[in-house]
Amino acid sequence: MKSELISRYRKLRENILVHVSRDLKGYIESLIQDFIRVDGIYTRAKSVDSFIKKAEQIDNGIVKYKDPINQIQDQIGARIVVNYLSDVKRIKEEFVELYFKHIENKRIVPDSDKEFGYFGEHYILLLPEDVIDGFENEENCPVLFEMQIHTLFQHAWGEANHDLAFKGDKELDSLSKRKVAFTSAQAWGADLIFEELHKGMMN
Amino acid sequence: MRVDQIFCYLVHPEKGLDEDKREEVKSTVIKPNNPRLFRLLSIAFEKADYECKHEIAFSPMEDGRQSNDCRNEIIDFVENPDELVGAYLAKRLQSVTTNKSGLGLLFLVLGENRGKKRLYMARFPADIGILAEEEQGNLNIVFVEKVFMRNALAYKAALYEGASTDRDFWIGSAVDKQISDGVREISNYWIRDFLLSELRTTPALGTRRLAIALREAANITDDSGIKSELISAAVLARGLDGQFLSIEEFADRYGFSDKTKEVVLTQLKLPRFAHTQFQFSLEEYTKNIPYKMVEIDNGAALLATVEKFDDCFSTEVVEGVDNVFIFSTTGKIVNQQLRKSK
Repeated sequence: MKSELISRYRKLRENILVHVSRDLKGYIESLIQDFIRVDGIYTRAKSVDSFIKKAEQIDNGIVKYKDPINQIQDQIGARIVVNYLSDVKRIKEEFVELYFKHIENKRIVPDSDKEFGYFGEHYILLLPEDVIDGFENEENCPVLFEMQIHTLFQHAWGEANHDLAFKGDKELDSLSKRKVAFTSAQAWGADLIFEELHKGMMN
Repeated sequence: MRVDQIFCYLVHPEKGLDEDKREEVKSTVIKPNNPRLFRLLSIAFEKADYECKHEIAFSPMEDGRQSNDCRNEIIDFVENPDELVGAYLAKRLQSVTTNKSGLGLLFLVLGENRGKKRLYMARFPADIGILAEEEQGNLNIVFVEKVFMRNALAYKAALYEGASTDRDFWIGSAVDKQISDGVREISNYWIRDFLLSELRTTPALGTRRLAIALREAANITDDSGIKSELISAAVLARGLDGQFLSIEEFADRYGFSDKTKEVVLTQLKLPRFAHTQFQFSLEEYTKNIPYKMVEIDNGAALLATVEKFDDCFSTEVVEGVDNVFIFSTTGKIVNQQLRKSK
């Protein structure tokens, strides 16, 4: 069952997702070229390991995705990295919501005000027709993709944290978790200070 | 393509009515043993791809959550096609129907197309008519108020198709055959209020496509007639803010010649973008066509914002010489530049 899913996803990834993801990057770049303080555009086709890990997620004792190929919506992901926190708001309002049709928007923050971890603005968007059209296998192309808007510090933390999560099978121990939270807190603080400095310079 | 089931619901106007005055939704199943009606709806089901020309997409909840009550009801119906389940859609339509829209018949036609579930929804308005029946040598005339489909071409419809209710059914298409002036009405009652959807193409994206096509077409052509048509339209387009249109309709509205239309449409990445409906955004338009420039054969180039060009430069024809003009402008110098490009 698992090997069949791996094989199906690998085929989908190689034949479609990788190409759509590449074209999506070009499309976003063409639309965003006049926006200032955009540090980078990243797109990716979800890796096979990451897809399978997500497909196997258990929620309250039940397998979360019964039909992962059709249910997992971030098989294609895009991330826009900007300098400051206020740029996240600007890109959200003046770019993403203007040029894309979204079906979901959430600001992801840790569960408790006393915790530090992942921060970011997330959207689930319809894949633009400009990107889908022309693929031989258009019918198997995903309908949706995930778009994240991050500051430089959120991006750096997210990348390192993601890398650590896939380093091995073992869970992080208590001290390691505290260290990860510490780096998130530092990134959060740096964003806050840079935003203040940026606003100060603008006034 | 195959029709499996057809359900029919009588939908009263209910928006703004007190709870005690609301009507229950009455329904019935249309079976193949009602061949004329079944056939008529089957044809509409098959032709829906051509009829429903406005691409729409469901909207999220106001707080951004990925949920849409209308989509949920559609998915419930597609997964459990039943008269009672379909009644939720009819109740939704009833709750947003005003007296202006009036009484209507909602048909839910469910079937399959190339292995995909296909749902066609159509609302026909009530009309009036006269029933004339010959009986034992007499003629009986009855005035009837609940006549539907008197004009089978006047209806609102929506079409959804998909293989997976998880992955698909986010995008659909719709049409309103009861109005002739674009999609403003359809977007309010049928698309926004009932289907909880918006046009798939955002105002900014649609306007950007139009503006870039006009700009590129004007830059690419050497034909002065085409350039002139494009520039006139580009200036007049500033009055379109908020209006719904497609690029093809834009070309027709400003009377583009066939060759001008062709130059514009060939600038589009996909031919079907010519028919895509969107709401014109002046803000986006101005971002993409901010300036008008006139280049003269003596080496001069006159540049001003599109909306101010004709105020900035007055043009006078030089008598006796073809296509030669005197341009004049008056003002203080506020800046001078050396530029690499025009």
